[in-house]
Amino acid sequence: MLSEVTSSFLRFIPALPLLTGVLHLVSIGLLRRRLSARAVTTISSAAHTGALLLSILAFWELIALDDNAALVDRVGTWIGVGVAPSVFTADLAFRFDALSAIFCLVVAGVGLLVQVFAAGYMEADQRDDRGFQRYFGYSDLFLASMLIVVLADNLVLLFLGWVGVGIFSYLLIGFWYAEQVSARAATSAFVVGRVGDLALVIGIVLVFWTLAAAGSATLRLGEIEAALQAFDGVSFALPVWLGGHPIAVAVIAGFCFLIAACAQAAQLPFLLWLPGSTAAPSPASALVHGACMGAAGVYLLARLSFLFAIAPEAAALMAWIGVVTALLSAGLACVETDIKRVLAYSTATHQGFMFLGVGAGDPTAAVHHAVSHAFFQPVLFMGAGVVIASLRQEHNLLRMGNVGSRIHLTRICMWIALLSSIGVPPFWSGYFSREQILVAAHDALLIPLHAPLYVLALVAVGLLAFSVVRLMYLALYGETRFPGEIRMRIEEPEPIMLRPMAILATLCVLGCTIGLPQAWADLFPFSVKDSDSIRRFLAGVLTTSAVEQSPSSWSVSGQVVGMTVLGALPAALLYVFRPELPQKLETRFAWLHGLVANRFYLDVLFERGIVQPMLTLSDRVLGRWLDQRLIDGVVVDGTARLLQRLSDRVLKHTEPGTIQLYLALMLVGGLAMVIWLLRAGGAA
Amino acid sequence: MITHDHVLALSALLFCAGAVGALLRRNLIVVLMCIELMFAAVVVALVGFDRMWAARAVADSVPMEGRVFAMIGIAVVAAQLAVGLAILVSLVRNRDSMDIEDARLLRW
Repeated sequence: MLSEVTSSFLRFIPALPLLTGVLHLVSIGLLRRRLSARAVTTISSAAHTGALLLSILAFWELIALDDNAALVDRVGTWIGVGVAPSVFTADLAFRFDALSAIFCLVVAGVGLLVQVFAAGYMEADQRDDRGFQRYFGYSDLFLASMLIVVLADNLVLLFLGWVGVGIFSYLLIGFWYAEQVSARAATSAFVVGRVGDLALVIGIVLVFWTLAAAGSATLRLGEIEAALQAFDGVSFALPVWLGGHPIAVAVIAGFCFLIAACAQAAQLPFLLWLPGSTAAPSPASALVHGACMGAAGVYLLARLSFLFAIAPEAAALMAWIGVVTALLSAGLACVETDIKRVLAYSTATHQGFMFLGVGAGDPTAAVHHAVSHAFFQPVLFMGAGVVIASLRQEHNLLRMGNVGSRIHLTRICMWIALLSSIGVPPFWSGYFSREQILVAAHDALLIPLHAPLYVLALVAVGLLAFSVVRLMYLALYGETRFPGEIRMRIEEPEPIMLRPMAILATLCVLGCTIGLPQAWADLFPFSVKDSDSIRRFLAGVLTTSAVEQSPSSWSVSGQVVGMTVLGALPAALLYVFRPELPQKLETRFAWLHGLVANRFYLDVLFERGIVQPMLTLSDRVLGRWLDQRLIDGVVVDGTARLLQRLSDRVLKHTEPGTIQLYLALMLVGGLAMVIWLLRAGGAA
Repeated sequence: MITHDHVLALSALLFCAGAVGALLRRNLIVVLMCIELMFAAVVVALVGFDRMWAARAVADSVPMEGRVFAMIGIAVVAAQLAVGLAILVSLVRNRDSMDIEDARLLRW
């Protein structure tokens, strides 16, 4: 059981950005007076700095406590139902334990840096006069929702934040709402997100239902885990025509939470909203897809790792979804020509690895990878933003080339982030976290069904390395493939944009210290004790159900590095030394290229399989038949017509207009009433 | 001695005469007068009951409400009759007839 310590300032961590976000939107929406760019930046960055400092303060307090403790800030009762002793309350309460601490620090820290970057970026890219403040309104509220998700003390409050993340990512993706591409992409992201929300609600209700049946009606995160035995033996039976097997409620709830996380982190059934979402401004991409949105999905899964430990089927599905998504999206990234889409696909790949980590029973590795990912992916998105902005909104990699020679510092930052992203061993943070995930997958080799996981993950590692290195060389090296007059105008971004990138790039390097495996630490000439600090820090919060770690992970390390090199080298060779070769390969393997370039026809599959049938169903069956014929035709018009005919044929003859008939009827009625009353009075 | 029963009998008689007249006569003015008759029957009954209560009451507190109500009722009926007559006059002007069969405006 976790011990809880009351703390009274946690509420301000999400409240500060919430306040500034509301302020910005009220200012431009209701008061119609926009603040100057300088004021907007000052207010927002002050709020984010405050949130970050409070997070650090909370972290400090948390470390001072004993293991497994949590800080809890209970603001008040939000929803209260029932009579004692069966009371259920969902409090407006925030919880800061080891897992929340990590995500809270990352979200607040990376959020602050990205907002500072955005201050420079959005200043240069204003397409309407309120765009600057509008951007900060949306993104402050996005970060506030994200902080609510990671700090929520119960699942209901978490759901509130979750929906907020969905809404504000929708607004950020559709930020240039006048452009049809953005509007469409935002809509599709929103619709997909609502599917995930529905699944999350069902999952929460299932958890509540099970716990309430066992007598402990609670949705508080700490108490759910304590009352976990309520799930033992509770199951639903499948319908008879499906075999009638019972399915444990834990597994069904696990599936629901998995679907929710998949929608948020763009995993497979929901992968395809991701490429469109790059219509967002680059800092928003860095924020939403680099640091936060997928992290919310991974946070949910890691937070509920105890549930997945007793729902192995859901965990297995998660691992498979993760690996297949990683593989497919890494493959897609290899042929994509839109620079931000390549990055979006690589985000999906990394999130696939995180899902694999939780699914293979090692949520710590997944959390660690989420942290690393939050360091390197924003840098890549920011760098891409710099390139795009300097080429006058050119997204196509094939019309870039040799940009890097004019933006050295950006290029250095991007290289560091890239090495971290593809996991080059010595120091880059992304390496160790992903290695841990692959070790977990490797250990899962023993489970028969899971055997291909590890191999597929290795292939994804290779493809990822290829795709990101390809992006670097196509964008920053080689021949100039854009109009020459732009070239002289490309220059290093301003310090306000460069510094956040540099800080994040430094974190990519230093980040490895939080999760250095002991086997690596032993290689150092000086002795490092307890190097794997993130694992020890999270040990009390996360439930690790992985097969016992194999004594030597060196073979895994070797294979991962080998695959990385195997992916990165051909990319370098193809795009640097033989730039004409990709074109030839493309024509040579046209069928393969066609398959991948058309997104494995998944688009077509979704369009024909889901969207078109849905539209047809809505239009023909629901629209024309159900609504127009049945409801409008029969129910509404039918009732009216029926009454019309009835009154024309029957009812009107009861109103002949003869006064004396009315009078007679009135007298008879009055007489009948009097008689009835007298009789009733006599009976009494 | 006029007893309570006498008064009620008179009231019933008046009411029946009014009802029969209102149902059977065709002249609108007569119908209106018959309705007045029915109302007078009600007022008569009211005064009769008032007498009955007054006879039973203690000497120093004779209730007068019934008689007062009867006066108010007569006043209200007079006002109502004015309205009825006005409708009648406009009907006669428009239709040039006092026959109740011609006053069928409430028809569908």
